[in-house]
Amino acid sequence: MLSPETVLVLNATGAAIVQLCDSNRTIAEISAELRGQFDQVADGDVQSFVAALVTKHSMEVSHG
Amino acid sequence: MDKPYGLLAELTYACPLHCSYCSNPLQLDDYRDELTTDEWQRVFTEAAELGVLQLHLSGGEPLQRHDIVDLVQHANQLGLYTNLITSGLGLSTRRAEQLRAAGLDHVQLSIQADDQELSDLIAGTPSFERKQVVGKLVKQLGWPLTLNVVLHQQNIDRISGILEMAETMEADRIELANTQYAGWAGLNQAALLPSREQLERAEAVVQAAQERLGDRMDIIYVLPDYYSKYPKPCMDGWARRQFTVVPNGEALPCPAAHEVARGLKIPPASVREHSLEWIWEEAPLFQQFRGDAWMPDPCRSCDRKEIDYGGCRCQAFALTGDAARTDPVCHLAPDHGLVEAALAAANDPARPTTQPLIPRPQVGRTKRSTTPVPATNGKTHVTLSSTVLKGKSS
Repeated sequence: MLSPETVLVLNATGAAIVQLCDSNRTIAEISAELRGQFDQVADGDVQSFVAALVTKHSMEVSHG
Repeated sequence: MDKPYGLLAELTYACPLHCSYCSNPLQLDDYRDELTTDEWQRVFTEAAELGVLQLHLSGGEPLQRHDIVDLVQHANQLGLYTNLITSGLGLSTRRAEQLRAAGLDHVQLSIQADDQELSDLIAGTPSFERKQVVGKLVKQLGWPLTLNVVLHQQNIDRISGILEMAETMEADRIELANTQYAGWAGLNQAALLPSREQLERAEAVVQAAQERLGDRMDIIYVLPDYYSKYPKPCMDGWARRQFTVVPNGEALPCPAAHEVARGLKIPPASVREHSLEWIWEEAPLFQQFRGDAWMPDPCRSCDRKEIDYGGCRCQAFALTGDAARTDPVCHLAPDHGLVEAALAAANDPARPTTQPLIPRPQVGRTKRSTTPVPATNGKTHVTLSSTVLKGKSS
């Protein structure tokens, strides 16, 4: 992911989360989908990952 | 070998501002034979082929290049993320619209202070008002706005006002970066280095603002390495993730490595003679400090060598005259006394509140003339002639 002065290199799980962020799915829906793909998805993991990217302005929350 | 993610293209060293914290090299006149439009476009093409994702267009003032729109357009067509690092001077509405249409992704606007008089004094030219207009223009055209503030003794006490101004300007990001003492900033280090008290106040203000603003504005605070226990991981490692091409086409592992190359007597590799791929993989200057084989102790046996990569080579050279020494900023460095001496001077109660600063001079671009260059051997503080003190450029 590119931001003005940094390049964030996502690992496979990070990339899986970002791919599901389509401005329609909620965090809960993304977590649920990931549970189908991965053995374990801890409560709050997706939320804290996305929140960190939002703080960095790498992602925006769609309120639609 | 790692592939580079970012290319910093210093398109020209011409600049309408005269900031004394400028990291451009002292020998500005050596870089006047600038790459042509075609040459820069070839560099961008080769950079994209090499794996570069991000292109930072800087200088000097990149808008001094009349072909800036063509350069952006070419980079955009290659799929590069383009970031314009500008003083704002030269960004008319028409030019901004052209850059938007050419696909420029991001604008980073330099800010000197929140007060017109101080801002214009630091910049050495009236520029405060123009920056306000440019900030609005950037937002109107739908770009994200990053403000870039270099912090030093003269403006660090104004962080609170600067942050308020950034909020008013609806900046999305603000980078508050303490000065790195390269180039002209190195000459002015004694006058620019803030006191410990100033820093502590500044950090408290930044922390409170970060809590208050949450994700409304991303505040990036770059610590002053002189006051840190360990050196910064300069460039994320020498020739590891990014590199710089300067106005005349010389390629450097970092934007301040001109002096290191000179000191090591390594002839600079030019994009006019070599491909970027060859430069990245083979050029002697790029190989010089790549990896950790070059490291002396205490770095060699340090468990932080993969964290800070031995610190800044340019700073090691500027302070000790030997680019292969441990960065003197590190409290474990044999030369740490040099940094301690600078800190003692900055925190001396008898330190004058204002000290003379040497402005970075304007560089001519068309005809050859000589800018007086302060003699420096990279080791001791230089004595300055009155011509240089006035910042006379020719």
